[in-house]
Amino acid sequence: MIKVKVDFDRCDANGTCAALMPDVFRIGDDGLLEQLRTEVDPGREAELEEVIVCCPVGAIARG
Amino acid sequence: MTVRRSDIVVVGGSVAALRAAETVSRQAPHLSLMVVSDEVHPPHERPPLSKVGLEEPFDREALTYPAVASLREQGVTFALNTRAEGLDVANRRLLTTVGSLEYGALVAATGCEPFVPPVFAGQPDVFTLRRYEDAVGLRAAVSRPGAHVAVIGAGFIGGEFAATLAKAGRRVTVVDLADRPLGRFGDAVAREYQALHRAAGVQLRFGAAVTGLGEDGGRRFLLLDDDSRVPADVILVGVGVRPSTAWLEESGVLLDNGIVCDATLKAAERVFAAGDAVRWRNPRWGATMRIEHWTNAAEQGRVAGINAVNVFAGEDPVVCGSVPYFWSDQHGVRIQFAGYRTGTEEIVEDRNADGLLVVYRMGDLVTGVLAFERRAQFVKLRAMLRNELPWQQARTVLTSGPAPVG
Ligand SMILES: Cc1cc2nc3c(=O)[nH]c(=O)nc-3n(C[C@H](O)[C@H](O)[C@H](O)COP(=O)(O)OP(=O)(O)OC[C@H]3O[C@@H](n4cnc5c(N)ncnc54)[C@H](O)[C@@H]3O)c2cc1C
Ligand code: SF4
Repeated sequence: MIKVKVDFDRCDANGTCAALMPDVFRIGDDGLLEQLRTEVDPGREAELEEVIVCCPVGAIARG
Repeated sequence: MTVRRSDIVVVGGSVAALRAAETVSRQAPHLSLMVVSDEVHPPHERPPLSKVGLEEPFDREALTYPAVASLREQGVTFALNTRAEGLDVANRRLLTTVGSLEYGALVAATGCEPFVPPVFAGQPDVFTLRRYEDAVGLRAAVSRPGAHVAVIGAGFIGGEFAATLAKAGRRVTVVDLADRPLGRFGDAVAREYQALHRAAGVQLRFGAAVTGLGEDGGRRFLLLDDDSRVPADVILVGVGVRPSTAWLEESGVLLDNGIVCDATLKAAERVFAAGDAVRWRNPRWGATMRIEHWTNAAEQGRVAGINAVNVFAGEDPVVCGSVPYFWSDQHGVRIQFAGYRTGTEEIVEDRNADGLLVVYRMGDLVTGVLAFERRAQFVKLRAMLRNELPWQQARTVLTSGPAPVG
């Protein structure tokens, strides 16, 4: 499994990650990011890679 | 003049170039990689340039993408202050201000540059906002007490900087030729946008053409086509940008308001392109488009990087299908859009206490969504838009029973 880390201090809750991997990230009713999983299957490395480079504030990293 | 060589050369010094370089370095660390940028600084974030408050620190180091340092550690060369001037596709050579560079594959990510109408060109205290230096100059100019700022163009960059000025108690007028702002998104959005700015004390002048500049008692003003005047000690021009593609004009690469690419972002043999400069066929929508927003540049940088590596690996290129997206922060309200519109859609307005959600509907399909706040619902619709989105499905996300309008 690949560990996924979010730096919540940087995150500005634009939800790009939640749009790309909705089962891992979610924007809650309060408008803030929630992380639903801290690990993803190695088969989803490319998806995770996309999320990491598309986060506008660079808040997501491999653990 | 020396001829150097790099397996992969990335041209450009902003987000598309950086994401391409990161992708190459991650997927193929054994390939030599050079980033050629005409900026004197390494890649930095642009979105904060219009958003950071006038009283907040505005530090270039803090705006520089952290990935720059790690790429340098991995041996990636950043050739800064180096301008691409031509491309020889047949001989795989990039011509630059400091000599030629041979490449195995190239990523063109030269983005866009602001357009300045002749009436403002060369005038003092006239700014555009694209690079760090622009922002430093503009922020210094508006720091003069009592300075009245005229923003030309009611788009996102102008709107954001007007909001930043209003927050700091500056006087600001936004002037636009169009009779309403963000007209392509429909009336509801235009009304909401105007109300937001008016409530914050920003003066708005729509349907107004600037015919000239004048001076009265040492203070400059804009002269409008109805003979009225707008104080304009400092002018920010935000009327739009143009693709920076002059360096490709003689290369044979097809240019048409951008670098024309196929669905894999291929522009020519061993040449891929990414970011604001690209016009490509987006398979998600079956349409050819050019997008001027951050996540598109990041995503395309990644795909172009993968495809540049695939040239060496002998693998097939991957396609770049995406849902265009932007966000904008104005007066503490987040405005977001996802989708692709042709402009002929039916507009469905859904307002509740949290904000406004506007859904663009073409028959049974939803083609886009724009939101003022409403973040949780917006992101659901944005995720749904990755596939063809039937109206009935989108509807479940909206507040109950919205009535179609306009
Ligand atoms: C003030 C501002 C605020 C923004 N806010 C938002 C926002 O809130 N949300 C959003 O989605 N988007 C926003 N954007 C848009 C976003 O920043 C752009 O979409 C993004 O920068 C595009 O990246 P790019 O790498 O394609 O091109 P650019 O950022 O235009 O960079 C092009 C790079 O190529 C270099 N270059 C050009 N010609 C040459 C040459 N011949 N040789 C070498 N180098 C060259 C340039 O110097 C530059 O480094 C904003 C833009 C600005 C300016
Ligand atoms: S993409 Fe980045 S900034 Fe946006 S919600 Fe996810 S972690 Fe936060």
